[in-house]
Amino acid sequence: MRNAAALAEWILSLVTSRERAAATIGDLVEEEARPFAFWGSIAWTAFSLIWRDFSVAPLGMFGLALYGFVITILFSAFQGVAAALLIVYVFPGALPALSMNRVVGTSLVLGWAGSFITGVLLAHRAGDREMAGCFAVLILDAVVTVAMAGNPPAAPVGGWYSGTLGSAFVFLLGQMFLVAGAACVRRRRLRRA
Amino acid sequence: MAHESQRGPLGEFEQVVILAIMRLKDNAYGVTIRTEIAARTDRRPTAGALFTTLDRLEDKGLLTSQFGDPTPRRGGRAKRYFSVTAAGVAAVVRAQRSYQRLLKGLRLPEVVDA
Repeated sequence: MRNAAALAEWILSLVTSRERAAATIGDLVEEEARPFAFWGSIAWTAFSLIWRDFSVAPLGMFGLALYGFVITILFSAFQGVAAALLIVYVFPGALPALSMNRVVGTSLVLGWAGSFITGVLLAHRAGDREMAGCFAVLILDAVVTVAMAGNPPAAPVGGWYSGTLGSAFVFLLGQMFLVAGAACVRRRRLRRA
Repeated sequence: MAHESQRGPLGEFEQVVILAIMRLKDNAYGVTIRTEIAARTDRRPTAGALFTTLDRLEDKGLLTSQFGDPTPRRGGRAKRYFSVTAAGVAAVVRAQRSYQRLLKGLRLPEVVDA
């Protein structure tokens, strides 16, 4: 329970002040809340606080979502160009020998690194609403992803990552890296405060 | 702190929370507020709903909070004690007067508790 409480306190401190997070967890510990009620309360509180940031400044949140989305697109373009330049100029003979899984794996890792950096940049712009900013980007990304799913590529790529579940997994993992980037900035801010 | 015109009318649960804090006086923190509401209204609000309502009321300037000393029973975490501001009292009085005006002249049937 002690580890769970520490983890929950860390999660809540991403969306509210450290003191408020500690007091909230202290109440749940004092009440000896069962695991389901404990984590349910954490999830509800975190979601409500993020939602409040949305309702206070919906236009600002939309702006953050666009900002994050544009950075994501720029990173994707940069990765594509960098990969093409590497193959053409640095490893000209390597392309035929590369397996599809290795190409996809490398682009996934690059994509997650891009998500992490996007999270960092987003958090710097979002002020103390880092997680709400991430949530806004998540919603916009999800909308665009679902809209694009209606137009699959002419030559679909096979593999676990190309199915609906695989795509959802890759998408969520990418969002986790986005949140991780923003969380790093948030933690640094809290340490300085 | 929100301006008077930005606060809007109090919701029913917000009134319940403010009244519970007023009843508890100097001992109003998360656990006791939840217990007081459960004892007086026969409903136990979820912790998440209570925490977010307390935060919202404080941001509206209707409550203030201060942290007590850390206690071992809470894993070394401090209690957050709440008190109602003058604006909070005024808001709950206004809300109750609205109810009273609506009730005035109405003949409600007698309700017997089961």
